[in-house]
Amino acid sequence: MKHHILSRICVCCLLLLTSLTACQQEARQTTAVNRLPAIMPDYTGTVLPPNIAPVNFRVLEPGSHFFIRITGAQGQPILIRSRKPDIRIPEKPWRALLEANRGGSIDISVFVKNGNQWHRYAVISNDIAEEEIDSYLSYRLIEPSYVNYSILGIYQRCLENYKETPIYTTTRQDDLRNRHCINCHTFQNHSTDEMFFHVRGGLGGTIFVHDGQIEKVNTKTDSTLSACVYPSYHPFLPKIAFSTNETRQTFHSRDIQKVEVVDFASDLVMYDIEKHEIRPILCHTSQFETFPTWAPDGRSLYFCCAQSVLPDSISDQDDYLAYHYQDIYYDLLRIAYDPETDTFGAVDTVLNMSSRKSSISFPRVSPDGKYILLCISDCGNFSIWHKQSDLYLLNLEDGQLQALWNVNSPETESFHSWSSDGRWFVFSTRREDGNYTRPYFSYFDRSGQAHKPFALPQKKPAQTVGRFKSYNLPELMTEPVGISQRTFDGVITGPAMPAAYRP
Amino acid sequence: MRTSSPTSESAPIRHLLPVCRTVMATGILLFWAWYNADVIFKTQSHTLFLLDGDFFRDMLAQPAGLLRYVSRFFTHCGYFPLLGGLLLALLWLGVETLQARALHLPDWLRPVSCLIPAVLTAAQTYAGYYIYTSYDGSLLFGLPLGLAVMYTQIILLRKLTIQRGGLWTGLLLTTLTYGLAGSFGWIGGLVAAIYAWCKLPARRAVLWTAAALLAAVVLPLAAYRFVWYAPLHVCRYAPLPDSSTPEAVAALAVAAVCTALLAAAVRIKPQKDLYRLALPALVLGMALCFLFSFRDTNFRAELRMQRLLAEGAFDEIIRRADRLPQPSRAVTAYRAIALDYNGQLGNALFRIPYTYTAIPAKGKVPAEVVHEREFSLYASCINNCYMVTMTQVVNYGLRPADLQFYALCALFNGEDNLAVKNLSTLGKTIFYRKWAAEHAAYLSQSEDFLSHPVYGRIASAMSDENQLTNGNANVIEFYLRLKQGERLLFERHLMDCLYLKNLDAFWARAPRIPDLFDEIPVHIQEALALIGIVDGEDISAYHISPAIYQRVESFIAQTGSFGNNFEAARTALESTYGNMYGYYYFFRSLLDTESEQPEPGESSVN
Repeated sequence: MKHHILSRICVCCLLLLTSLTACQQEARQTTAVNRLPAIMPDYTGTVLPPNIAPVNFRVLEPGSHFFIRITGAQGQPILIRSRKPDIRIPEKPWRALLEANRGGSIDISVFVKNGNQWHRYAVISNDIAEEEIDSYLSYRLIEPSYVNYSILGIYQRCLENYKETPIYTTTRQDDLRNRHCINCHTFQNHSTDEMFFHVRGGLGGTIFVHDGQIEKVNTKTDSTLSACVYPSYHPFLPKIAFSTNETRQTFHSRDIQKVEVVDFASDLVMYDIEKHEIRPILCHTSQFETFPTWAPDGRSLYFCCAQSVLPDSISDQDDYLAYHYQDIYYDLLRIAYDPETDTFGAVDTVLNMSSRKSSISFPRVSPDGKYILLCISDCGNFSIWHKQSDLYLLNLEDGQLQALWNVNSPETESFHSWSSDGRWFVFSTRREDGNYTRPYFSYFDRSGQAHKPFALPQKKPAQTVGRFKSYNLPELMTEPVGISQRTFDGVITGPAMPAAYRP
Repeated sequence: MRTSSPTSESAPIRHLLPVCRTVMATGILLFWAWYNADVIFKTQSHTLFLLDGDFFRDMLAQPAGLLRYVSRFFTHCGYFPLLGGLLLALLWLGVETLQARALHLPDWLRPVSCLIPAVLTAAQTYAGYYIYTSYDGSLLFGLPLGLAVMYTQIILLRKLTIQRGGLWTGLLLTTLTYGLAGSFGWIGGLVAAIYAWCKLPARRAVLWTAAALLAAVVLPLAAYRFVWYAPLHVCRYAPLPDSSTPEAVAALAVAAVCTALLAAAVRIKPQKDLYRLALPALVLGMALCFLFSFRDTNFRAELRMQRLLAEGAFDEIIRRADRLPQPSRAVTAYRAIALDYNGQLGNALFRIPYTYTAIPAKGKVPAEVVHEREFSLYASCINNCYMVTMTQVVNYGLRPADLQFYALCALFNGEDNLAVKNLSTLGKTIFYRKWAAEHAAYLSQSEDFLSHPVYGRIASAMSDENQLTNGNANVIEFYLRLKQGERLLFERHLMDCLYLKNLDAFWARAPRIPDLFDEIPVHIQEALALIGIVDGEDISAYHISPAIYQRVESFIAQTGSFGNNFEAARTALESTYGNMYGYYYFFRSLLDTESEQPEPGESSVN
């Protein structure tokens, strides 16, 4: 019986080998097409991390048979034969090939049989970086809607494979009192030992993970505009700079940018995780301060700031802003901070964009402190709904502002975060369909050049476009969050500790 | 008399029944494939089977909470097309068996009764979605589960005898069933009660009904509280719920009456053949349940308004629409039509500083009712409606019909990439493939699209102007634009400019005024006069009443006489010029006007 099974297996293997060889031979008799094949996602001419999951793709060229050959200067080539245009690259050989060609490049040859003729397209070449990308990506999956207290969650995805697991998801859509939204998941130095996220709605509060403990804090005080909103962990102190924002959202009646999110007021505060204290940093009524971000040395806090356009007498701010939201421009400012004495110093303007009728949002300082990656759009601060929003790089050493033309697209580019070593950054973009955000990664080399980005690899290539969820706030992490949903849920459903306000 | 039972089937029925059941199960399976559209759900990332313990306990503390929890759990199975279809088919097969046993259906009726699940499934998906305001996707599984509980309850109630406690056991059982399955509990009681009523002698029936009514006031609530909630409360699982709502009291009262009647019936020797009446009774019960739970006041209002519109009862339409707390788009449209006929649309649409005289519209809105789908589609292409619809999708799941709708919106808005995404997903479904292929030809707003009898008309009526908005005024505007032209839309823009004291924007739009108004509204005349007098602009192209012009002139002159004494001018001029735009412009803030909006229906004169 055993012999019988063994012989069957041998026959199958032989047939498979024969067909593959025949296919290769057949593919050799090809017509050359002097252009790159159309593939989706676009994994052509980019730089890939050596630890990335296989970049499965769909061949968009018409054909009935597909043959793919992935080769490098080192390592075993990968041969894939498929009757479907979806090409799935086997994980183990892929990993071995990338490892063997670390710092080099790999070539992807695409052969498509259309009718009786095989077509050989120009070889796709991708570089493999020396530096690995942080292994995990966290994001919130949410419909591009305007209010959602039902089914949404913060997830983490291992970039070395396709495993996606929930960090926390809401499941209380039937519980009208306790339905809640979750947002702004943030980590200190890309590690999950120190992290937090906000809970809004029925079970509102901010969930902090600190020193192995989880606690829920109500960061709204009588002296602040709102509960804490946009965060930035201090690089080494148990403190977080937050903005507090009075935010409204309205809709464009016709513009396909759909939603306009506008701040009517915003301030900066500092939250001390251990003392549960909030104290003001900047609270000017005539200015909107928001999007704080620490320099890696912890001695400067960068933030965006706009002049208020609201006259004092205006009570119906929604209507007023219906005509004036386009007049709000944010500049990039910086305030000095002394970690030893815990005191803030002078404020200076780093980049003035309001004079150019443009607006800055989401500044993020690179881990080496040399650059700031930021978004520039036509107005306001909620760049995710502005198609004009693009990524720019500000060189802090020479003050040069450079648009990342090979990274940007005609659609929105918005939230972004650096990897722990600063060699990669991830950003959200709506380049696929204009509505659903997707994370893209770009290699940032030592000379300060950002390279052509690539999409988050998916097991099914169609998922890149097809998923009816937006990837919100992509953040790179060096390790996964180890706390269970149930543990988070226990804290979320419990009482919130009130934060104290210290003027 | 021959007693029918599910086990005593005649030969033809014995052959027919399995066929009918197979057809029913297969039908449900296929229907699920259609409804579910597996491709769509596969692309979703619903967190499956993460209904945590706290959520379970919270659900348990509500009437029918357990049923809803289990059905939601089953709904998650439904994200897998085959598993969902199989589960649904099996559930309905089980319900059919229980139904036969509970109602003692005659043999000939059983194959026919197989149709009921299919009809109910359909009603709970497409029809249910459009009829119920708050359609819950889990009803798809909740309905067969609830019916299973109900039929089991009927079977158990039938078997109860006086030796087992009769009335009291019946009460307890119905109460528990209500807790488990909500309304199904008392529907079961109702069915059994109808049977009981049929077989009780009149005197006893009256007696037992009176006793049951008395018991219904106290016992069910008490039993419900203590039997169902008390243990949960003691275990700190859930707070005591508010079971004193009218619905709960009514349901419990009906359940108690039914149970008491049933117990009374059981006390006498049952005449089993009268159970044949139970099936029509069930239909009646379901109809009552439907009416009882049917809370879509908008839908009812729409039906009524259709008739009222035909009768020309515009005041009644407005009155009914104003009474609705959250009027639907269709109701809003009917209200707009009625207001337009009454010449009040200007007042209703525009948030004016304090007074405004509406000028009757140039062309009346045609009396024919806009086709609901056309109107919905049109209105939803406006982004706020689009986004609201998206929120519904978040709550209830993305169905092919939703995706179809989004594809159309994308086509109207010229978002080709999004349209391609939606159409390609629809193209992978079973029943929408053809539709998707047809509509792929409409990309880039092709000639075919613009010449389409419906799409073309809507596309041509889409506004070119963009503005920020929160309310549903846009829906009305677009309705008007679709049906009447753009005068009112333009008028609203002018009034917004005046309201925000943005005379520059107002003046920029002013050149179109003579073409669009037979008679310029008073406030617009006042604003034009103000611009002419203060800014020295040439306003000769506009027909401004001499009286209005002189009044504005006089106001300006008197204002100047107060110098910098703002408060004195404000107080002194209010009685004479308080209703003039110039006074608003100089002396009032938006805050003042917020509190002085005229009440609805209050006439406004200038």
